[in-house]
Amino acid sequence: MLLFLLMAQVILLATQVRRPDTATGESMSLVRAWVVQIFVPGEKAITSVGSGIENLWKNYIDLRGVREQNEELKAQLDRLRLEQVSLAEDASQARRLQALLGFKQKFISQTVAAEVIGSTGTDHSRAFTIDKGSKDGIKVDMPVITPKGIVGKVNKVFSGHSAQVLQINDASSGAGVMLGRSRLRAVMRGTSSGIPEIMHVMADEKIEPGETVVSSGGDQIYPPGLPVGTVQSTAPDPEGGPFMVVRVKPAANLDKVDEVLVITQVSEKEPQYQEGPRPLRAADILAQRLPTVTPKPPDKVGAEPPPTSALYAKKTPPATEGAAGTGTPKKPAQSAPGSQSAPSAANKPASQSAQPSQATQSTSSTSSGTEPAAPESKGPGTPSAAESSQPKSAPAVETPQQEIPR
Amino acid sequence: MATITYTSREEIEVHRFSAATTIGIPLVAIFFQVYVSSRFTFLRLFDIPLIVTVFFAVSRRNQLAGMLTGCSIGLVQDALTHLPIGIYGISKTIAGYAASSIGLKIDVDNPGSRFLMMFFFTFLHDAVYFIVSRHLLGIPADWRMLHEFSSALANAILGVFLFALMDRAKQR
Repeated sequence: MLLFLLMAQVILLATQVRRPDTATGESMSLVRAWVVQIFVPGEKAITSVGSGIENLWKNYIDLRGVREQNEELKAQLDRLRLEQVSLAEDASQARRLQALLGFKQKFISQTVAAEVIGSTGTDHSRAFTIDKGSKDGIKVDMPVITPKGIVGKVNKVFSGHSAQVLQINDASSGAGVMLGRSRLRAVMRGTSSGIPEIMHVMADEKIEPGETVVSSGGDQIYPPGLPVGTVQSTAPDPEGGPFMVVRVKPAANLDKVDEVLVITQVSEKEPQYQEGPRPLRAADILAQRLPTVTPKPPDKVGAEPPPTSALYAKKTPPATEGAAGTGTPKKPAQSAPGSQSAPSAANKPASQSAQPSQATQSTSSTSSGTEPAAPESKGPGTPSAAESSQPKSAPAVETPQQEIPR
Repeated sequence: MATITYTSREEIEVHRFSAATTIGIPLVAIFFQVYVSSRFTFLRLFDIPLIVTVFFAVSRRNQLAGMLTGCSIGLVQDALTHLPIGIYGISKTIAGYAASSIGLKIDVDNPGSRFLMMFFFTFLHDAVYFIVSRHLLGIPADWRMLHEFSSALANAILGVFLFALMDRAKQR
């Protein structure tokens, strides 16, 4: 009888291994489908009850410290806005270069949020069940992520509202990755210990612990650029081969995954770059405040400069030359409002986007430090013009304060 | 007058279980294993379905019943993984057969013997699983001695308590 049972199961195993469509998930053995249908409703029910209790606790009872947390988050938001301003120019430049190169980029255009309702319960199979299935548009091989990084891919889709996700640290799992610093492309594979390893990396490569690992897109499953993890350690090949063992600490906490996002649609398009108003930099503002050497009337702005021979041929009174050198005559002072109003208008969006960051103390202190320079450049000659230009120039003066942290 | 020896069937208690217990306890064990371990990953060290398999096998002291119990529980566990169905089935069938065979020879009501029994059967189960998955199916798997030892120890300790709990479901 023992032999009979064992033989029956061995035959069952052999049948599954030989079946080609099982691996793709298009069809499934009846045993698996029945068992899942028995267990999933119970898991969903318990999960929903648990979530309800948890939400009740979180939303109504456990609200201690929310006010302090709100203040901290506001401060963090201000800091992030400052960083956003400084990164905007880099992003704009990157988009321009991508557009020039005809670079096609993959964008995550649609995701489905899902809740984890169960696992396999064993370390031999690192997979879990989610509460979204074929009726929610989930298909096999769709990438599954969290805000921190990639989690795995959809391995099996059950009829109705459940699917199985295979984690990236499972021994039968793999992903195309790229190292952040060295830009080295490689294949990451899960292990039975649950710590993924990057394979076939030559021992002479300079890889340091802490280096970020992102998806390369080479596996045609995970979109490129998603965080995968960080290099945990490197070690020589235990078998003495030419490669080294690179262990990766996953960015997402794979031991505790409660909610995930299934990427259901990835679109491929070229980045659109539009030449917008150039953001004002600190150097531009400082350049505007310097004494103007050759003031020009408004109607001649943009005209070609006169030849050097004409300058020498022209006789000018010595008093005017001396005044132009000191930067204190009336002419530069008159032109100052006009020269300042133009850039301030051009940089209005930049100053508007940077306005929330004025809440930070560092910004306000910088602002007070730069303001006294304005009257010096404007000169004392035209107080009315200086007054009229003051509101316009104010945002332009504040803009470099956002750039200073860079 | 008939003499009763210590090897006679009268001294060996053969327990029976109701149908609800026979189906309910294994299902609850599997459900607990797959659901709770998704919240607390350290619980993956335990194999509660294996403890239940061994308990039913040694209590019934019937090799056929032990094999069928192990086979059923193992196949259900297999169905919940992403691996081919039958790996846990084979492992638990062998564990159930061995447990029911041992139940005929030793005192299985003693906590000490239960501890040793669970420790040994966890090793046996994991060894069979490793052989089937790696050498029969070619699935990448490593034999991690420390992990297997920890798992066997954890199952042995938990087994002592769960056996005592499940003893209440026994019927003479």
